[in-house]
Amino acid sequence: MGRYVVRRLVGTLPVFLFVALFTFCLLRLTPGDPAALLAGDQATTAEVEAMRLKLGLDRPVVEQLVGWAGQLASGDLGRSVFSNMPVTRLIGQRAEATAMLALVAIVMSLVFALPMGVIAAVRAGGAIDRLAMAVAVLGFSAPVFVVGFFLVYVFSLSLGWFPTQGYTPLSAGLWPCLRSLFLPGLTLALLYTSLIARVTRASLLEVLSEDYIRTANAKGVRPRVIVIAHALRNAAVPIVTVVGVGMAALLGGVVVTETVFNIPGLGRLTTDAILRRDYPVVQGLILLFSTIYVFINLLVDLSYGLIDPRVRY
Amino acid sequence: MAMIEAKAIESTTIEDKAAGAARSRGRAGAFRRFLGRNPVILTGVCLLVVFMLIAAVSPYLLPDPTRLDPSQRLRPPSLQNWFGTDHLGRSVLSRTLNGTSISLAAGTLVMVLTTLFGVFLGLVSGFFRKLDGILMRFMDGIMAIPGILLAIALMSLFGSSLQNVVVAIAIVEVPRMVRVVRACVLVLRDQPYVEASITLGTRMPRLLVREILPNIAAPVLVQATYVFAAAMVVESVLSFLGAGTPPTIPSWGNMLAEGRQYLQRAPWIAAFPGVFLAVLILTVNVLGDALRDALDPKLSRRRR
Amino acid sequence: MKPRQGWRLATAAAIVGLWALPAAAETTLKVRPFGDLKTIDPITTSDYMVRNHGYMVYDVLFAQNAKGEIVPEMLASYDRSQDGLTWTFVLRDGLKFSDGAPVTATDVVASLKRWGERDGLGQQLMANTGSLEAVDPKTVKLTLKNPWGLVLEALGKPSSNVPFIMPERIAKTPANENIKDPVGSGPFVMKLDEWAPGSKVVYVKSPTYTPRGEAPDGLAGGKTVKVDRVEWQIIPDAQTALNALQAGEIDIFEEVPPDMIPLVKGNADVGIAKLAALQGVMRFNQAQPPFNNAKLRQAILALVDQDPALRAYVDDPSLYTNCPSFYMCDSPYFTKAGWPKPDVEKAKQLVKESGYDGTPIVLLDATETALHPASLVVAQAMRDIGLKVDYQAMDWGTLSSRRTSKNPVGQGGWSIFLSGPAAPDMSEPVGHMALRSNCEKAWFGWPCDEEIEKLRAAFTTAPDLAARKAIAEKIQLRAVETVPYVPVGQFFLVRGVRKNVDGLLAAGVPVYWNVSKGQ
Repeated sequence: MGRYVVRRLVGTLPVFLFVALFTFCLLRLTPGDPAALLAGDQATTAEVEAMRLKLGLDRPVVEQLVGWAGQLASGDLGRSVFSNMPVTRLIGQRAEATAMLALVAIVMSLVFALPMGVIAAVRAGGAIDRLAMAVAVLGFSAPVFVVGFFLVYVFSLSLGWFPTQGYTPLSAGLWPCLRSLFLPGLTLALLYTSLIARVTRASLLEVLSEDYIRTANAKGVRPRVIVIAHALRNAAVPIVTVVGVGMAALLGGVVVTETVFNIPGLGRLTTDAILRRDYPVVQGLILLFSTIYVFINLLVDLSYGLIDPRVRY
Repeated sequence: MAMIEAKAIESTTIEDKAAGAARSRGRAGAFRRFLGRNPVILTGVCLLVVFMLIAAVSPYLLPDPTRLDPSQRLRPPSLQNWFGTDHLGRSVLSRTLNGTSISLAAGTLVMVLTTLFGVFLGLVSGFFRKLDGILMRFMDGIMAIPGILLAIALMSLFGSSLQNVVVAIAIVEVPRMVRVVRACVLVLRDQPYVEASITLGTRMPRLLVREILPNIAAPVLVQATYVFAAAMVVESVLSFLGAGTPPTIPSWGNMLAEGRQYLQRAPWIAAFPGVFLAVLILTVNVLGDALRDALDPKLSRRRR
Repeated sequence: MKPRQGWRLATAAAIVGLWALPAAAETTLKVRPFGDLKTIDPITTSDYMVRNHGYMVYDVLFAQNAKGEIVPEMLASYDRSQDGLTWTFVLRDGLKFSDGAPVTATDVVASLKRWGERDGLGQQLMANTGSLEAVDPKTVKLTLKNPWGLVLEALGKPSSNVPFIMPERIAKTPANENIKDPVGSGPFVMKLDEWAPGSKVVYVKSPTYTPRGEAPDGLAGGKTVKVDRVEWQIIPDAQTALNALQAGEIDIFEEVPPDMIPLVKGNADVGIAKLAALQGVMRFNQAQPPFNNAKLRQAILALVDQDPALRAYVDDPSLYTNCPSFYMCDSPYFTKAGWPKPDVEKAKQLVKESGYDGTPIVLLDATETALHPASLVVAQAMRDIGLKVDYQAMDWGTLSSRRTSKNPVGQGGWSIFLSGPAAPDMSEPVGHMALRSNCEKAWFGWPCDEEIEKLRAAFTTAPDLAARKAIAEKIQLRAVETVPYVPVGQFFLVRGVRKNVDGLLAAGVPVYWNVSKGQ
């Protein structure tokens, strides 16, 4: 297993290389440069040029790339063109909010989705199944910002149960933090609930038709025990996969949620940085995201061995 | 690497899907019977046709959806303006119905582009093992960047236009299609009849047309419907974030984004395109699910 | 631990607790500013958010009161010699930077010199300056080479770039490099460690600041801070910010979009207050066809009807002004002289005379700005008279770099963009951003007209207000011919304020001294 992990990690290197190169080129080709933005609305052409010179944007692209690669190798992600803060510090300021939001959303999704999927599978074809799947597809189809606004209108503006926006850090206490994340978490969870519920149903249906389940049935094992002890465990591989893949997709989903609920997380940092052409920040963030993606995939793969004894590396 | 394939959700059922499609192909006349047996698919197809009709007809019957009239802004729905007017005095009815063609066009174009490139790259990757490594690293790289962020970055590179939205979303969606196709091809390659025809010296084009393409059609079709739905969602999200189709184009995403600032004061601006978008996406998703179930022999076996 | 020691500790804890009690009840004013703070250097950029930050942490020699007069702020007194060439400024007592160091004349000299390298008016002042030096720790002497009438206007400049006074060690930073330390002698201190760009900027009441004795008046007078902490919470989405204001999570919402004002008014806990006036500016690129043709620019001036352009953004008539002048309507230099009435037929006639050949007009529209609706309205109006408009939507980031290009429209160039500079930048000929016609050195669009430049130079040496007004009018009469830009009207920015907030000052810049927050 150790050898497998090492092999996988080495295998990801080209992915990182590709992501880094791709982002770098993408950004340099993008029209609009940070110099003009930084210089301000009233700047003259000469001032913009001076700013470009200062930021090193006048140097050839290859030279800029080499400079950046050198920095990266020494673990330095550079500094924001705008605030002049180290990118690592900016990421540090924002990471907690996004991590907590993703965690809350995943937990909520699982709490809703697993029972929904199981019941739908056990009663396949029945009214509950149809209803659950209709809700799941609906959750897929409703635009996130409409759902978000609706939740805020009902639970914050009308009932006053939750704050309308913002994030309370963990340091201010677990409860206030969770309270500030309840509505955004729910908004995000709706999307993933649909995804997970559908996969749970599908893979459980498949397992339930296997011979050993029929055997257990014939032996008179209680249906609840069959589903939970045997079927769910065997259906777990696709479910864990979709949770993992969903976790990576969640990083994209937070962008809209963070905007709607004004959560100072990584998603908003990225959109802001892209719109401002803050190259070092975008590069650092995309590298971070792809690292997370690769590691979640690795964890998912490793978890198969724990869930399903048949899997060998 | 093998693990990544094994875990792709699709791959567990893909073999069956492919086989199911193989059985059901070659019976063109059976299409109507197929629809008759699947009322959900029939309803879905009918709804899609209705949307297409709206898209085709509305430009000729309704006033210009981009015509501004600042003296008529924020009028609630009435007999004159069935869907009300927006913050620039434009007709929401006209914009919503005209938006149908934009969403359909965005969805269709992304679907076509994704399918073409996805199938091509998937076949290359499945058959030419030397290219496979490089190609799949490339795809992994694209997939490692969150889709929305990649699309935003691409949009700020390309500039705002409908074509660019289509290309940006297609770039985000292609890797998933490649994976589906590649997984299918890897399974098919090891099938005795494919191995047999390779041994017999069947030329590649012939092999593709006769054996491979028909067998991957079903999973590709199902994946394509999801791409179609996803494209429409992403279009609206991009517009919401201010990186989508130019605001002069009455796409539903733009209308939702503009209407969002008026949800309390003039809810009709966002409500009508919102409902239309949700219904269309729902239709396509349900259609995709129903197709998958209908083409999946395991499920049909259970039903019969 | 011995029992007696325990007692002592408990008592100590109780005392500390009592002492800490008022601190727990500290008041925090939560403000949603209109943008984000990008950098902390108000000299290297003219960005309004950075300017507003400057007013929090720095003090100024002169400030503009509510009547628009320039009065001493950091100064105890100042003196102007008979010939107007020698100025002496004496600092008032008790001025200290937030790091505890006293403000001295050398700090003032260094700050003014750095500002004079960047600011337009500052550059003119420096060009006319013979010497600027510290006579003693409290006295600064300015000697001019030639008579120049705008010394007070320059030093009391209310908007970007404001001559803020910084410690000499910071003001020695080269003028093309950003400063990194926000130490100033203003009413607030920035908490650099709590600054999270894109999310939050925090200021606390400065312990070293002593306000003037007078009542606050515009940007002048006593800057008494009445809260312990001001937090700028960056909330980009207006609907989210409105929700937060309605729920009391923020106290002030700067720049409420006009269409949300009825909702704000409908909430009993929230009121609105006018903030600053802006002028909508429709700017031509004169370096390239088609707008290198003055006739075509005149056509657009005749075409643009300010009413629909403004009404597309705001329907409350008290919040916009149809203002037929290059100067703001409440400026002393406002004049209607020579202004054409909106006339579509005349516009068509002028287009014909211009010999317009169908070159596409590339209109850059930053869709997230307040001028976006006006952009759409003018685009439609231009199309209606047969001009070929290539409308290009983008974000402000793209626009602000696209507009630097002097290339033809086919090669990434542009013809028109819209922007909304604030009143102080659009009120008089010298500081006027868009009338300046000094070719390459002018604002994007690069209008070039010797006559306007001569008049602007004459304005600086005019003896009195009447003479200046006459020159301002001449400039307008010339500018309706050269049309460096077309004003699309004037509108007010409005802030939403919770009812428990009191003491907001009516100034062109949002400032947060004198503001108190009740329960």
